[in-house]
Amino acid sequence: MSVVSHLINGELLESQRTLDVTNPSTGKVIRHVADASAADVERAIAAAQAAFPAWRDTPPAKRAQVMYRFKQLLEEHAERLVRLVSEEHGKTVEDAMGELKRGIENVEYACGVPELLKGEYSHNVGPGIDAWSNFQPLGVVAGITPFNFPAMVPLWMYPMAIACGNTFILKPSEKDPSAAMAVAELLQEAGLPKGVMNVIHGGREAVETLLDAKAVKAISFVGSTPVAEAIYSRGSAAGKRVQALGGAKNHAVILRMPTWKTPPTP
Amino acid sequence: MGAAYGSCGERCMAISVAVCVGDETADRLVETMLPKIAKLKVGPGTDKGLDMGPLVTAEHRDKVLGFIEDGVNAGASLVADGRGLTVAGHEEGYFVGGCLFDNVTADMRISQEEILGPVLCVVRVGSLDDAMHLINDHEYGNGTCLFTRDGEAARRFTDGIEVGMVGVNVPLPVPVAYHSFGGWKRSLFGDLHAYGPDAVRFYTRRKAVSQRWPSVSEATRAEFSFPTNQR
Repeated sequence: MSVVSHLINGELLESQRTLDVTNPSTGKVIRHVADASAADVERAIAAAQAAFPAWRDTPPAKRAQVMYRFKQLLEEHAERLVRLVSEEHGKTVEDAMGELKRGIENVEYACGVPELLKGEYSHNVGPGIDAWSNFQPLGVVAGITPFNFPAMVPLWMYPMAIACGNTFILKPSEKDPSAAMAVAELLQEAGLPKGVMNVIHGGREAVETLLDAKAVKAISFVGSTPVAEAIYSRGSAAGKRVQALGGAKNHAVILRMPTWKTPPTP
Repeated sequence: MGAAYGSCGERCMAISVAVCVGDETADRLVETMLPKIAKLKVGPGTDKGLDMGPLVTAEHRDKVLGFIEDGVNAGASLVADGRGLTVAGHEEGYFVGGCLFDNVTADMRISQEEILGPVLCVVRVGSLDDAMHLINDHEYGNGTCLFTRDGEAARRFTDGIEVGMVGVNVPLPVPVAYHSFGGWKRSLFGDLHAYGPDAVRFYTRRKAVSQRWPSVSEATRAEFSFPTNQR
């Protein structure tokens, strides 16, 4: 049975431990996924740290060009990606295509990063003195993503993080890791230097290592509220920037049901 | 229908509560939805032309079933029961059909907690303000929407609701990539929302530089006040 590997410094790597990946439509285990130890995560962090100086100094327009190629590859491989989402998550293929398209929108936005990073400038704030603000990348940042949008939510995070000049470590859901992994491999194929994008799989040990690592400067998380709150507390206490999105109960208020059966014709 | 049951309700933006203003609205909503729920096409996600696939794991299915049981015990009316649904050839899949609860009240666990399954709760209230109080008092504030033809009500709702993403006649108001995604209250911990303009700020840090290049002919002398105060 195949194993979904980590992607560290552009290489596929396995772990000693693995977890089962199940097809929820059949209840059968269809493949395994690597389960990272703290040492595996440290390797990913070291790779991302090593890749940062050169990527930080790569002009934003060059970084954007990788995103243009990435968008094209995502569109070319859409059918395969969507199938992986449906097979491991269980959502319908049409729905999976919808989530992929919403994910690609974020790659398109990241293509505009030279414009987005232009900064602010003031001439003559004092006699002969000019002032400006520019927006510099943080370093190594990490994303931890949920099972319910295995293709889209990772794309909420790393296209922008990487286009802004950071290097990235993704820890996708261990329940449906294949789509996130396939998407990350396409980014590599788009011409990203090794170590800029890394993927580690696993559970609590992987997450806790990321949260406590000094070299990881920011964490983006999407999941349930109890976990979001715990990640926010632990990550903030370690001095990181954290955005942790949690649960929801979305109310639709209906004032009155429509009184006609078909819309009136003009 | 899609907002409640699409992706088997496993969306953080899924509509999980329909707050109906007036009994007539609630009665008509339930009566309109029941035949549609009965016709939901459920099967393996990889097949084409379906409405819903299975839930993601056996544990999650059991959790959703636990919520349904809890709602029944709390006194809500389960008018559509998707439990026990089997899909031919996929008997071991984690399937649950569409469920609809009527007469749900704010104190019930099915109203308070996120189920993340194909379960829609109907809550009956007397006015728009009652609906807004119900939403504003809730622990979460991710998404919400209002269905109306009344512009004044829409303005009142969008302005006063304590929720991060609001739709007017848009059931799933997930912001496009050039806005940013995030809820309020206990739906988000942190200062910035995800993707879009907030992502530029989240993934960078501001450096403010002040720079002066005095000409070589300028006499250098000690300065004791802010240069911006001179001349």
